[in-house]
Amino acid sequence: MTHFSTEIQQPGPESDRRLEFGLFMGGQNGFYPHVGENRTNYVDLPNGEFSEPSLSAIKVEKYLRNLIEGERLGFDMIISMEQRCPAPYNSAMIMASWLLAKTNKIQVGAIGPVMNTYLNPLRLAEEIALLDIMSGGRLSVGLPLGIGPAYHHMGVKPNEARGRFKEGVELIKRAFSEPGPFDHRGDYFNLPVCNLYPRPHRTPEFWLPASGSLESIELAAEHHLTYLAIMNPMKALISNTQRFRQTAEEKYGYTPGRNQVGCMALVHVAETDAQARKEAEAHILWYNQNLMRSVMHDFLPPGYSGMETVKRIFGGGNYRAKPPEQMSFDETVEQGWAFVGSPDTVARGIEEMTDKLGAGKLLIMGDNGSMPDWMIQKSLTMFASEVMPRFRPARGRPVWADRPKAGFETVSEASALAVKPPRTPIAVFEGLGKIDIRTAHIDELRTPVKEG
Amino acid sequence: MSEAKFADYREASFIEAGGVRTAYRRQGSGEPVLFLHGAGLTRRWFPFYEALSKHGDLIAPEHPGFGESDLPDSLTDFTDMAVHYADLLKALDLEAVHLVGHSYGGWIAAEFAALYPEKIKSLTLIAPMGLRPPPEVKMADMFRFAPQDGLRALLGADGDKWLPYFDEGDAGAQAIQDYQEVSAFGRLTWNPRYSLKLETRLRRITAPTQIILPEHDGVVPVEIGQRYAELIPNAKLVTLKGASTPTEHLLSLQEPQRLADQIAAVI
Repeated sequence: MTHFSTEIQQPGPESDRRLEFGLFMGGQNGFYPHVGENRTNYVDLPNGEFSEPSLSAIKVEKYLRNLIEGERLGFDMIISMEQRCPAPYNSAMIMASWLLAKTNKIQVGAIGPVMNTYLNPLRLAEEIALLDIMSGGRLSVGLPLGIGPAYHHMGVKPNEARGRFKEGVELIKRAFSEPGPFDHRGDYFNLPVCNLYPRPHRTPEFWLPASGSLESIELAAEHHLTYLAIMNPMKALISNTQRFRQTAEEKYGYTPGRNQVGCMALVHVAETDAQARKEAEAHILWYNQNLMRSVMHDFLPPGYSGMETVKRIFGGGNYRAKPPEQMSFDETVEQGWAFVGSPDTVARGIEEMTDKLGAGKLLIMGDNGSMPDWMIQKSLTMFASEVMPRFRPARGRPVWADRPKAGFETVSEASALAVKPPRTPIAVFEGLGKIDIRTAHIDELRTPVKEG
Repeated sequence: MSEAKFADYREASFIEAGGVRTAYRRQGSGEPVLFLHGAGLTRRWFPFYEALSKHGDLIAPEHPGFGESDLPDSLTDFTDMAVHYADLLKALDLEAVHLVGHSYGGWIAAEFAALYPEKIKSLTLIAPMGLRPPPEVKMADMFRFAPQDGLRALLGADGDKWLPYFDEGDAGAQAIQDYQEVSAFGRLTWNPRYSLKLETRLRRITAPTQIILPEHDGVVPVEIGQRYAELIPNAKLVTLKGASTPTEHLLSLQEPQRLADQIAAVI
């Protein structure tokens, strides 16, 4: 197979103990009904009552503005997510496009588009490639399988979710590495003419966020994706990242570095531990009780998970394990879902978590979805000024600060690139022959050319 | 015989049907009657089976992925399912059978009968799924029932009294079994939840046919059964009334004897 000479993103040196920080916002705003037994807010909350347009506009504006601020604060990356009912944030790609346009140099991670909601994976590859070209190679992409509720909304058979997804990941990787056109003959997609336009500046760094299904871990290891361990207590995150490393080593013959492992936690910083708790506690409980809660048939639609994974979830007494929505504030912190405290306390927590997981990347959830703006900004400013620099080389610069953008930013740069077009653009004029259209408006230059 | 695991549990026999290990229970003598179950209540021999087995040689297999039958990766649509049952008849050395299907099993029976009309001696569809109801008819989302709502939809306002019957003891094991079965069900029925092809194929059925509906159905709209009766030549439409309470989708639990007797009308 011939590969493009496309640059592959290699963010951050491995050798030092540097951590890369992504900024992720919960973005919800807490105006949903309190969830009771056997209910969820994720699938059929009526939009007539809960999607008032002005309120959606306020939510989305706040969400995007706080992410854009992440560039000035010095995060290494800002993240757009994708959530459907009851949230308005239904396209990670559209929001990533906005974030790229509103920022200058920071990396934007779309984590990410639910590939199975696209007609085919190549359509998503096109959007990724276009954003790469538009942004000077500043896009990274997370490929989530999509939570169960997405399958209730989109008609895709959950039974086919993983098969389609796996084939899609392989096809996208291929479209970014192999010259087109090529013929794809898969179980789910048969695309006789795969021909990705535009070819990107950089093959984006692909992330695979997963709560720990065996299928996802395997896929991330096989295709050298950045494994983002999420939605589990610390104990499970540790075993999942261990399994990821072990799979990569034993089955695929390589050892993933720290920069191929990411994790995520809610972070809230204040002047003292007591003050931080006072500010964050109600919001953490709100999140646990309303957004961590769901019912099995929504989160595990039929066939969404393989039987081996389902046996791990329900077998061996796990069926009666305490559900996350019943977690107290203290349990949430103890299990590593959140770091809440003074800068010292939060830094200690982050160091411990990333050490245990061997993670080189941490997505900070700067807001769980219900905090007021002032509280978010106070915490993030303290985090950026008093925590982040501890995990960086002297001067505290983010990874993008010293990395040139791909492509050009000015007319003079574009000219200096001196890209030679592959063909002379010609039109055939009757009586004259082939004319170079670039000079056809000048009489003396309207002469026939040989090539074309 | 091993100790009962839960109410009406009975051990299965197994047979290879086209390479698929298929669990089934069989009792009675006379005309062969093949019963195709709905999306649940597997691994049981319940009073309805007992009553029906008095009218013939009752064979009650478990669909691939249900109960203890295997589910091959290659089985992904109703044609594959119909082929599986043709394989089962061959394995059992049966030329033709009286075919009875309830709910999801009714859909499978209709597909089988339309593809293999020569293999059925009679057809009985009980509260069948499989056709598109008209837009004004509300259709429950079968994949989103909360447990207590599910029982009421299946068995009416006093559905809760049946709760012990559904209890299989070990909650974790039951959750795993239920997930396996609903996954097998969803593989064929998630999207679309009806077949437009059936509408044009049902005309091929020539055997005596009856559609048996409950008085009320909170799961599968009775309009679907009525549409079957319009599309299958000479089909008879019967509403089975309850002795004390109105019949619902699981009329096989509510009225086992009367339902078995009604089926026998075409055997």
